[in-house]
Amino acid sequence: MNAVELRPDIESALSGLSEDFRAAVVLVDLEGMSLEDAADTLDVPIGTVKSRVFRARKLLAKELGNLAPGSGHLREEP
Amino acid sequence: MRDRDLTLIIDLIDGRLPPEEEKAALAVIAADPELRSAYRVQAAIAGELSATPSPSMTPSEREVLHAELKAQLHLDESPVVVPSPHSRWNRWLAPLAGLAVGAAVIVGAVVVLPGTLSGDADEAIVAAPATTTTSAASTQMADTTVAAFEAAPEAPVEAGEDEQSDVVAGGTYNEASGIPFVADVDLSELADSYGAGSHLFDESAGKRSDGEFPVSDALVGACVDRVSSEATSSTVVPLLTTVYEGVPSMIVAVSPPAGDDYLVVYSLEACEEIATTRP
Repeated sequence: MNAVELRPDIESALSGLSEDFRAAVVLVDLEGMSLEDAADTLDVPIGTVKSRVFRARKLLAKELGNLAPGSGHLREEP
Repeated sequence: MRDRDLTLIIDLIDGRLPPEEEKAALAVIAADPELRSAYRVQAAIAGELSATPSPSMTPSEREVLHAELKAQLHLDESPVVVPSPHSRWNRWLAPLAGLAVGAAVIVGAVVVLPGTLSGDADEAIVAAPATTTTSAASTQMADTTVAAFEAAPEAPVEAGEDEQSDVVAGGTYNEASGIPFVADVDLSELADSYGAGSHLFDESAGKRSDGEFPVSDALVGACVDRVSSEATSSTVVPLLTTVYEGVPSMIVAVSPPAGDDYLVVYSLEACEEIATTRP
Protein backbone atom coordinates (compact mmCIF):
# COMPACT_ATOMS: atom_id res chain seq x y z
CA MET A 1 0.00 0.00 0.00
CA ASN A 2 1.26 3.41 -0.78
CA ALA A 3 2.54 5.45 2.05
CA VAL A 4 0.21 8.06 3.35
CA GLU A 5 1.87 11.39 3.61
CA LEU A 6 -0.17 13.55 5.84
CA ARG A 7 0.87 16.77 7.39
CA PRO A 8 2.66 15.88 10.57
CA ASP A 9 0.27 17.77 12.79
CA ILE A 10 -2.75 16.09 11.24
CA GLU A 11 -1.12 12.71 11.33
CA SER A 12 -0.21 13.22 14.95
CA ALA A 13 -3.72 14.34 15.81
CA LEU A 14 -5.21 11.37 14.01
CA SER A 15 -2.90 9.00 15.82
CA GLY A 16 -4.25 10.30 19.09
CA LEU A 17 -7.77 9.19 18.29
CA SER A 18 -9.20 5.88 19.29
CA GLU A 19 -9.29 3.30 16.55
CA ASP A 20 -13.02 3.64 16.15
CA PHE A 21 -12.94 7.38 15.81
CA ARG A 22 -9.89 7.37 13.57
CA ALA A 23 -11.36 4.78 11.25
CA ALA A 24 -14.56 6.75 10.88
CA VAL A 25 -12.99 10.11 10.22
CA VAL A 26 -10.34 8.69 7.88
CA LEU A 27 -12.92 6.92 5.78
CA VAL A 28 -15.33 9.83 5.62
CA ASP A 29 -13.09 12.88 5.54
CA LEU A 30 -9.83 11.63 4.11
CA GLU A 31 -11.15 8.89 1.88
CA GLY A 32 -14.24 10.83 0.94
CA MET A 33 -16.44 7.86 1.63
CA SER A 34 -20.14 8.45 2.14
CA LEU A 35 -21.51 7.93 5.61
CA GLU A 36 -23.45 4.94 4.34
CA ASP A 37 -20.39 3.35 2.81
CA ALA A 38 -18.38 4.01 5.91
CA ALA A 39 -21.11 2.40 7.97
CA ASP A 40 -21.02 -0.63 5.70
CA THR A 41 -17.27 -0.81 5.85
CA LEU A 42 -17.13 -0.51 9.60
CA ASP A 43 -20.20 -2.67 10.01
CA VAL A 44 -21.92 -0.26 12.32
CA PRO A 45 -25.14 1.74 12.04
CA ILE A 46 -24.87 4.96 10.14
CA GLY A 47 -25.79 6.86 13.26
CA THR A 48 -22.75 5.46 14.95
CA VAL A 49 -20.60 6.63 12.08
CA LYS A 50 -22.07 10.10 12.36
CA SER A 51 -21.40 10.17 16.02
CA ARG A 52 -17.85 8.93 15.63
CA VAL A 53 -17.07 11.38 12.86
CA PHE A 54 -18.56 14.24 14.82
CA ARG A 55 -16.61 13.46 17.95
CA ALA A 56 -13.45 12.66 16.06
CA ARG A 57 -13.56 16.05 14.41
CA LYS A 58 -14.06 17.70 17.76
CA LEU A 59 -11.06 15.90 19.16
CA LEU A 60 -9.01 16.74 16.12
CA ALA A 61 -9.95 20.36 16.42
CA LYS A 62 -8.93 20.35 20.01
CA GLU A 63 -5.67 18.63 19.21
CA LEU A 64 -4.86 20.85 16.27
CA GLY A 65 -5.64 23.86 18.37
CA ASN A 66 -4.88 27.32 17.19
CA LEU A 67 -4.24 27.03 13.51
CA ALA A 68 -2.98 29.50 11.06
CA PRO A 69 -5.49 31.76 9.38
CA GLY A 70 -5.88 31.04 5.73
CA SER A 71 -4.82 27.47 6.03
CA GLY A 72 -8.37 26.35 6.17
CA HIS A 73 -7.79 25.33 9.73
CA LEU A 74 -9.61 26.53 12.68
CA ARG A 75 -8.28 29.37 14.61
CA GLU A 76 -9.42 30.65 17.88
CA GLU A 77 -11.27 33.85 17.87
CA PRO A 78 -10.14 36.55 20.23
CA MET B 1 -25.61 19.32 22.32
CA ARG B 2 -28.47 17.05 21.48
CA ASP B 3 -27.98 14.19 19.15
CA ARG B 4 -30.34 15.55 16.60
CA ASP B 5 -28.19 18.66 16.47
CA LEU B 6 -25.22 16.44 15.86
CA THR B 7 -27.11 14.74 13.07
CA LEU B 8 -28.14 18.05 11.61
CA ILE B 9 -24.59 19.29 11.47
CA ILE B 10 -23.15 16.07 10.14
CA ASP B 11 -25.83 15.78 7.49
CA LEU B 12 -25.36 19.38 6.49
CA ILE B 13 -21.62 19.04 6.14
CA ASP B 14 -21.99 15.76 4.37
CA GLY B 15 -24.31 17.33 1.83
CA ARG B 16 -27.11 14.97 2.70
CA LEU B 17 -29.81 17.56 3.07
CA PRO B 18 -32.00 18.69 0.20
CA PRO B 19 -31.80 22.42 -0.56
CA GLU B 20 -34.84 23.38 1.48
CA GLU B 21 -33.73 21.45 4.51
CA GLU B 22 -30.21 22.72 4.12
CA LYS B 23 -31.47 26.28 4.19
CA ALA B 24 -33.55 25.58 7.26
CA ALA B 25 -30.65 23.83 8.92
CA LEU B 26 -28.37 26.77 8.31
CA ALA B 27 -30.95 29.07 9.83
CA VAL B 28 -31.24 26.90 12.89
CA ILE B 29 -27.51 26.74 13.28
CA ALA B 30 -27.03 30.44 12.71
CA ALA B 31 -29.48 31.20 15.47
CA ASP B 32 -27.68 29.18 18.08
CA PRO B 33 -24.17 30.14 19.20
CA GLU B 34 -23.36 26.63 20.35
CA LEU B 35 -24.47 25.13 17.07
CA ARG B 36 -22.62 27.79 15.13
CA SER B 37 -19.47 26.99 16.97
CA ALA B 38 -19.91 23.26 16.54
CA TYR B 39 -20.72 23.62 12.88
CA ARG B 40 -17.71 25.79 12.32
CA VAL B 41 -15.45 23.27 13.97
CA GLN B 42 -16.93 20.37 12.06
CA ALA B 43 -16.84 22.11 8.72
CA ALA B 44 -13.31 23.34 9.24
CA ILE B 45 -11.93 19.96 10.19
CA ALA B 46 -13.87 18.20 7.45
CA GLY B 47 -12.62 20.73 4.96
CA GLU B 48 -9.07 20.46 6.16
CA LEU B 49 -9.03 16.69 6.01
CA SER B 50 -10.76 16.50 2.68
CA ALA B 51 -8.18 18.90 1.29
CA THR B 52 -5.38 16.76 2.64
CA PRO B 53 -3.91 14.50 0.01
CA SER B 54 -5.07 11.04 0.68
CA PRO B 55 -3.25 7.98 -0.45
CA SER B 56 -3.86 6.84 -3.95
CA MET B 57 -5.12 3.37 -3.49
CA THR B 58 -6.14 0.79 -5.92
CA PRO B 59 -9.40 -1.01 -5.23
CA SER B 60 -7.46 -3.97 -3.91
CA GLU B 61 -5.43 -1.75 -1.62
CA ARG B 62 -8.58 -0.17 -0.41
CA GLU B 63 -9.99 -3.59 0.36
CA VAL B 64 -6.89 -4.38 2.34
CA LEU B 65 -7.28 -1.17 4.30
CA HIS B 66 -10.90 -1.91 5.03
CA ALA B 67 -10.07 -5.45 6.05
CA GLU B 68 -7.41 -4.12 8.37
CA LEU B 69 -9.82 -1.68 9.86
CA LYS B 70 -12.32 -4.44 10.44
CA ALA B 71 -9.66 -6.59 12.02
CA GLN B 72 -8.58 -3.77 14.29
CA LEU B 73 -12.12 -3.24 15.34
CA HIS B 74 -12.67 -6.96 15.82
CA LEU B 75 -15.67 -6.86 13.56
CA ASP B 76 -15.17 -10.37 12.35
CA GLU B 77 -15.27 -11.83 15.79
CA SER B 78 -18.32 -13.38 17.30
CA PRO B 79 -20.61 -10.77 18.77
CA VAL B 80 -21.40 -12.97 21.72
CA VAL B 81 -21.62 -10.80 24.75
CA VAL B 82 -21.66 -12.18 28.23
CA PRO B 83 -23.18 -9.96 30.87
CA SER B 84 -20.57 -8.55 33.16
CA PRO B 85 -21.22 -6.92 36.49
CA HIS B 86 -18.61 -4.38 35.59
CA SER B 87 -20.05 -3.34 32.30
CA ARG B 88 -21.30 0.14 31.73
CA TRP B 89 -24.54 -1.46 30.77
CA ASN B 90 -25.06 -2.72 34.25
CA ARG B 91 -23.91 0.54 35.69
CA TRP B 92 -26.77 2.20 33.90
CA LEU B 93 -29.22 -0.25 35.25
CA ALA B 94 -28.54 0.61 38.84
CA PRO B 95 -30.09 4.03 39.08
CA LEU B 96 -33.10 2.98 37.12
CA ALA B 97 -33.76 -0.27 38.82
CA GLY B 98 -37.06 -1.31 37.32
CA LEU B 99 -36.25 0.09 33.95
CA ALA B 100 -33.41 -2.30 33.55
CA VAL B 101 -31.75 -2.22 30.24
CA GLY B 102 -33.95 0.54 28.99
CA ALA B 103 -31.73 2.87 30.87
CA ALA B 104 -28.86 1.87 28.74
CA VAL B 105 -30.59 2.84 25.62
CA ILE B 106 -31.43 6.14 26.92
CA VAL B 107 -28.47 7.37 25.82
CA GLY B 108 -28.22 9.73 23.48
CA ALA B 109 -29.91 9.03 20.35
CA VAL B 110 -32.51 11.65 20.95
CA VAL B 111 -33.89 13.50 23.88
CA VAL B 112 -37.48 12.55 24.19
CA LEU B 113 -39.51 14.73 26.38
CA PRO B 114 -41.93 12.91 28.56
CA GLY B 115 -45.50 13.04 27.53
CA THR B 116 -48.67 11.20 28.12
CA LEU B 117 -49.49 7.86 26.71
CA SER B 118 -52.02 7.83 23.99
CA GLY B 119 -53.31 5.32 21.59
CA ASP B 120 -53.43 7.63 18.63
CA ALA B 121 -51.86 6.05 15.66
CA ASP B 122 -52.67 8.52 12.96
CA GLU B 123 -49.48 10.48 12.92
CA ALA B 124 -47.10 9.12 10.40
CA ILE B 125 -43.56 8.62 11.44
CA VAL B 126 -41.14 9.94 9.00
CA ALA B 127 -37.46 10.07 8.50
CA ALA B 128 -35.34 12.58 6.75
CA PRO B 129 -34.48 11.58 3.23
CA ALA B 130 -30.89 10.59 2.81
CA THR B 131 -28.50 10.84 -0.04
CA THR B 132 -25.10 9.35 -0.32
CA THR B 133 -23.17 12.38 -1.34
CA THR B 134 -20.11 13.22 0.65
CA SER B 135 -18.80 16.70 0.50
CA ALA B 136 -17.21 19.20 2.75
CA ALA B 137 -19.49 22.12 3.27
CA SER B 138 -18.30 25.63 3.25
CA THR B 139 -17.52 27.32 6.48
CA GLN B 140 -19.50 30.42 5.72
CA MET B 141 -21.00 30.73 9.13
CA ALA B 142 -20.91 33.64 11.45
CA ASP B 143 -17.65 33.86 13.27
CA THR B 144 -17.85 32.67 16.77
CA THR B 145 -15.41 31.69 19.36
CA VAL B 146 -14.49 28.12 19.03
CA ALA B 147 -15.83 26.50 22.10
CA ALA B 148 -13.87 24.25 24.30
CA PHE B 149 -14.20 20.74 23.06
CA GLU B 150 -15.17 18.01 25.34
CA ALA B 151 -14.75 14.39 24.53
CA ALA B 152 -17.87 12.41 25.13
CA PRO B 153 -19.04 8.91 24.45
CA GLU B 154 -20.44 8.38 21.06
CA ALA B 155 -24.09 8.15 20.33
CA PRO B 156 -25.83 6.55 17.43
CA VAL B 157 -28.16 8.97 15.88
CA GLU B 158 -30.06 6.77 13.57
CA ALA B 159 -30.41 3.12 13.18
CA GLY B 160 -28.79 1.50 10.24
CA GLU B 161 -30.99 0.50 7.40
CA ASP B 162 -29.44 -2.87 6.92
CA GLU B 163 -30.48 -5.40 9.42
CA GLN B 164 -28.56 -8.45 10.39
CA SER B 165 -28.95 -10.76 13.26
CA ASP B 166 -26.55 -12.21 15.70
CA VAL B 167 -27.09 -14.48 18.58
CA VAL B 168 -25.89 -13.15 21.86
CA ALA B 169 -25.93 -14.57 25.31
CA GLY B 170 -29.45 -14.84 26.56
CA GLY B 171 -31.26 -13.91 23.41
CA THR B 172 -30.94 -12.06 20.20
CA TYR B 173 -30.48 -8.57 19.03
CA ASN B 174 -30.52 -6.82 15.79
CA GLU B 175 -26.94 -5.76 15.43
CA ALA B 176 -27.06 -3.38 12.54
CA SER B 177 -29.82 -1.35 14.04
CA GLY B 178 -28.36 -1.76 17.50
CA ILE B 179 -31.67 -2.72 19.00
CA PRO B 180 -31.35 -4.53 22.27
CA PHE B 181 -34.08 -6.56 23.82
CA VAL B 182 -35.26 -5.38 27.18
CA ALA B 183 -37.46 -7.72 29.10
CA ASP B 184 -39.59 -5.16 30.89
CA VAL B 185 -40.01 -1.52 30.05
CA ASP B 186 -42.23 1.12 31.50
CA LEU B 187 -42.79 3.51 28.63
CA SER B 188 -43.41 6.54 30.78
CA GLU B 189 -40.36 5.83 32.83
CA LEU B 190 -38.33 5.37 29.70
CA ALA B 191 -39.61 8.66 28.36
CA ASP B 192 -38.80 10.35 31.64
CA SER B 193 -35.32 8.98 31.44
CA TYR B 194 -34.90 10.48 28.02
CA GLY B 195 -36.35 13.73 29.13
CA ALA B 196 -33.93 13.79 32.02
CA GLY B 197 -31.30 13.90 29.40
CA SER B 198 -28.92 11.07 29.62
CA HIS B 199 -27.40 11.03 26.49
CA LEU B 200 -24.76 9.20 25.15
CA PHE B 201 -25.24 5.85 23.81
CA ASP B 202 -22.72 3.25 24.67
CA GLU B 203 -22.35 1.20 21.58
CA SER B 204 -21.74 -1.93 23.54
CA ALA B 205 -25.06 -1.47 25.24
CA GLY B 206 -26.75 -1.80 21.92
CA LYS B 207 -25.20 -5.19 21.57
CA ARG B 208 -26.49 -6.50 24.80
CA SER B 209 -29.51 -8.61 25.14
CA ASP B 210 -31.52 -9.41 28.18
CA GLY B 211 -33.55 -12.55 28.12
CA GLU B 212 -35.25 -14.39 25.34
CA PHE B 213 -37.21 -12.40 22.86
CA PRO B 214 -40.08 -14.29 21.30
CA VAL B 215 -39.88 -12.58 17.94
CA SER B 216 -37.43 -13.27 15.17
CA ASP B 217 -34.93 -10.71 14.12
CA ALA B 218 -36.41 -10.87 10.66
CA LEU B 219 -39.69 -9.57 12.02
CA VAL B 220 -37.90 -6.84 13.91
CA GLY B 221 -35.98 -5.92 10.81
CA ALA B 222 -39.14 -5.84 8.73
CA CYS B 223 -40.82 -3.51 11.18
CA VAL B 224 -37.77 -1.27 11.32
CA ASP B 225 -37.78 -1.12 7.54
CA ARG B 226 -41.47 -0.36 7.44
CA VAL B 227 -41.33 2.36 10.05
CA SER B 228 -38.33 3.90 8.35
CA SER B 229 -39.88 3.74 4.92
CA GLU B 230 -43.04 5.42 6.13
CA ALA B 231 -41.05 8.20 7.63
CA THR B 232 -40.65 11.35 5.60
CA SER B 233 -39.50 14.21 7.72
CA SER B 234 -38.90 13.08 11.26
CA THR B 235 -35.94 11.19 12.50
CA VAL B 236 -36.80 7.76 13.79
CA VAL B 237 -34.49 5.87 16.07
CA PRO B 238 -35.31 2.27 17.01
CA LEU B 239 -34.42 1.99 20.66
CA LEU B 240 -35.26 -1.44 21.88
CA THR B 241 -37.48 -4.43 21.56
CA THR B 242 -39.51 -5.57 24.48
CA VAL B 243 -42.70 -7.24 25.53
CA TYR B 244 -45.00 -4.32 26.13
CA GLU B 245 -48.18 -5.21 27.97
CA GLY B 246 -47.85 -8.75 26.74
CA VAL B 247 -47.20 -7.78 23.14
CA PRO B 248 -43.82 -8.29 21.51
CA SER B 249 -42.94 -4.75 20.59
CA MET B 250 -40.37 -2.33 19.39
CA ILE B 251 -39.96 1.12 20.87
CA VAL B 252 -38.69 3.91 18.67
CA ALA B 253 -37.85 7.52 19.41
CA VAL B 254 -39.24 10.05 16.99
CA SER B 255 -37.83 13.51 16.43
CA PRO B 256 -40.38 15.46 14.39
CA PRO B 257 -39.36 18.54 12.42
CA ALA B 258 -41.18 20.65 14.97
CA GLY B 259 -42.27 19.96 18.49
CA ASP B 260 -41.05 17.64 21.12
CA ASP B 261 -39.60 14.24 20.57
CA TYR B 262 -41.61 11.26 21.68
CA LEU B 263 -41.58 7.50 21.89
CA VAL B 264 -43.77 5.11 19.95
CA VAL B 265 -44.39 1.47 20.72
CA TYR B 266 -45.04 -0.79 17.74
CA SER B 267 -46.37 -4.28 17.98
CA LEU B 268 -43.97 -6.38 16.01
CA GLU B 269 -46.42 -8.89 14.66
CA ALA B 270 -48.44 -6.28 12.81
CA CYS B 271 -45.89 -3.47 13.06
CA GLU B 272 -48.63 -1.17 14.28
CA GLU B 273 -48.47 1.60 16.81
CA ILE B 274 -49.94 0.50 20.12
CA ALA B 275 -48.77 3.24 22.44
CA THR B 276 -46.89 6.50 22.36
CA THR B 277 -45.73 9.37 24.50
CA ARG B 278 -46.59 11.74 21.67
CA PRO B 279 -47.87 14.98 23.19
